[in-house]
Amino acid sequence: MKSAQAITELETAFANKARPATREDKPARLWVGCFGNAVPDVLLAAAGCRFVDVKAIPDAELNDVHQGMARFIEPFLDDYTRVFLHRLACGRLDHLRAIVFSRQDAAALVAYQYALEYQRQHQADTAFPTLLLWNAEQGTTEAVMTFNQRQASQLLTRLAALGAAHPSTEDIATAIEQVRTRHQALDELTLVQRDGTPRLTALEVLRWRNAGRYLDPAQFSSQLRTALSDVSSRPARMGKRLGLVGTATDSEDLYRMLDSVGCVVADLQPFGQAWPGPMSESDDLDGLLNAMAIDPFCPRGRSSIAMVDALADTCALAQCDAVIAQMDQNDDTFGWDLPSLEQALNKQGIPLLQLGFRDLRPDGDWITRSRERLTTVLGDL
Amino acid sequence: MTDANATDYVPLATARQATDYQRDWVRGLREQIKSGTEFAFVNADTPHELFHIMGLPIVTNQWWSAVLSAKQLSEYYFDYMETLGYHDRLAKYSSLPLIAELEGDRERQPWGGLPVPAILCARQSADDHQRIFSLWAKQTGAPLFLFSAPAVPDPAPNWWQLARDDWETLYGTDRLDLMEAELYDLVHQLEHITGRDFDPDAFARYMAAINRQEELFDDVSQMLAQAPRCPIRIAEQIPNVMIPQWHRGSDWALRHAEAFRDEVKQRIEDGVAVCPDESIRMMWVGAGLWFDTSFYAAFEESHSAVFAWSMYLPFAADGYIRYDQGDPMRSLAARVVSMNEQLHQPPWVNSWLVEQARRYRIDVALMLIPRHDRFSGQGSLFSKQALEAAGITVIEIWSDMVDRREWDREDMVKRVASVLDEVKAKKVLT
Repeated sequence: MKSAQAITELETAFANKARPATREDKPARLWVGCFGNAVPDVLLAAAGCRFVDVKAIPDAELNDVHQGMARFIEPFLDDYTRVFLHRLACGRLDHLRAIVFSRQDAAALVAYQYALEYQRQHQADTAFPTLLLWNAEQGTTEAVMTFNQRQASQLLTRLAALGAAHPSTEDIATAIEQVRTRHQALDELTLVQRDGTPRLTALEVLRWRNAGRYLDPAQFSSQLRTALSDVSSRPARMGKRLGLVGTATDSEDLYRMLDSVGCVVADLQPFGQAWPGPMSESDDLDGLLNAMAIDPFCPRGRSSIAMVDALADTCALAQCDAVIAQMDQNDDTFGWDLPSLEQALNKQGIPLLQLGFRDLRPDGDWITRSRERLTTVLGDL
Repeated sequence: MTDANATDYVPLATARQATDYQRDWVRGLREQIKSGTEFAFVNADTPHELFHIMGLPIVTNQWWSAVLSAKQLSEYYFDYMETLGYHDRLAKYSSLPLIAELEGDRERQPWGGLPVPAILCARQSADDHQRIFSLWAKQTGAPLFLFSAPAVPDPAPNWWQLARDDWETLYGTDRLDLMEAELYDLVHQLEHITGRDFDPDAFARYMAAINRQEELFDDVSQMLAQAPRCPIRIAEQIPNVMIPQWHRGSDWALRHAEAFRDEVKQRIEDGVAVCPDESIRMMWVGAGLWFDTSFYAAFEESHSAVFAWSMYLPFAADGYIRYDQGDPMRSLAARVVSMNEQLHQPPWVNSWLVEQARRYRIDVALMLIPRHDRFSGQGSLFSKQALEAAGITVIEIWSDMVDRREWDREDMVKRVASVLDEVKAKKVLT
């Protein structure tokens, strides 16, 4: 496969969000949706499931409205929760046998709770996929480890009840190896993005990285490496080196705007390099669970101070000239980290530029205002 | 029978006693601290029991927040909060004390403010709790103990029927094992801070005393629900419940709960009513409106409408009574493991509110929905729909419990009065 073809396939996978183009795969394998970072897709792979992200939103489904569900959705819910619930109630996710929601993702947890309650109240007229909670905790104590091991065991049992394979230790080791290969390919992408001479746009990196949420790990790793093979021949991109932090966004317009004002060399929002999270060196499940339980970028980590330091250190490692912060309209978490992050970045000589609140899909005015502001500020650096 | 007019309402003696006790306690705590006593600053949904049994006084974050708000300080602090770079859509209720701490002028705070705690404690039920407490720890240097808060995968709607005895089934062995292990971790840390050894036998007796206290509150709730007319205002229910709750299981708390029960019982026997011609019974859904508690009495004269229900009293029973089944520490885990979630997560909150509304013969629910405190506001519309399906009129109050900046009392009174007019007219017709 040539690089251009690999790029097309990655970008198509991200654009389609693994919908009709791959639907023919459905009869052969159990399709499972994943909402939020930190879902253990190793377990899904080991159980023979086909797993796809359901948090990022296909453009065609952005404005889905289900009147029955709308009665329960408060305006302060996370946009990704709101859109998911409408999509679910509209039947957009009917091709999935189950959806696994991550406790580590606030939008995912509320989506799980609301979907479960809606289903309970409307059992006669809904046929949702089976709703499963990945309830793992962050921490290093024996109690947390035991708890997480039980969650893994229960997830596998629930999947098996739906028809998935109950994997052996060897199956899990094989799946870990596959997912490790994906991690390594994504690490290469991260290295290319933060290279001394940037050559990829932030939008390309967003699409390529997140295509991995919809493709088989081995297939994705191969395609990504092929796509990366020609990058060194591309012309160098010019502009200030930027970091991106804040709440989750898959807005391509936002990324185009960032590409027009500089080079994003560290993308640290949840659809950036926070995914797929830590990988263990060992081939056993406990090692993987332990690694996942100390993810420095997890918003539910035991110390927000450590997370802030990790963000600042990553921006410094990428030699950012400035870091850009953005938040969704209902942020109630990242805002607590912002002043500390600004201080930590400033200690490293990096200014933090705040774009403030944005819509799920920022409109033209917001994009224009942000571009003008960043152009001015970055020009003064 | 001695009917009182709404305007002649005589406050409960026990309400004043509770408030006086807490004020004196905080003052006394300051004096003790000067002579070396330490204290803990903790969130409301943490195991206060362990601090009490280890002899470490606690100040509760949400109580202190309510006090700051009642002293009309929230506007100042939330304006100050924005100057620090924290945006104005962050949750207010749990963060007001932090902002006061960051502001630093203790003389501005009630009773000279709080000194540096020996330990901070929170549960990670909402993602911002860890952040608020981490910032406090960074500011003061106090150690922070965080409890894990795994979510509830399969919440049983009738939780209050299972929670007292069958809590192992209700909350799940995995979650209870984790919570219990972390409770013992906290015990070890408190042993280190206090220099005292944990006494399991004393703890068992203490846990039994707490159940007795909550049973007293259960009795009061039963009496209020069944009384022909509501005999006390919820603005008095709240201190009579919550202040003993902050000191739960202590001799004073038990004595106070008994005195409260006796005073309510006497009022009911004497036929006392907040509104002698009570015609509309209301429930206040959500946390207290701490900066304007007189709002609760705003419709007594105009509509003979009385707030008969707020969550604090009935939740003292349903949220706290956990019979130990031979394992007091595990029963404490059962009390704490989903404490807050029971008040916010569907189907727990909507099912419970409907059950309570029926018990209390509620006509109208005023539902406080904070725009910028998602953990507190979530599940509101499930609750609204459930209450309406049960025949109860629901009025949404989009406001914050401690931030008065968006509160327009005059407008709110007009809105509520208009709905009450309709409800009253319908009741006359039927």
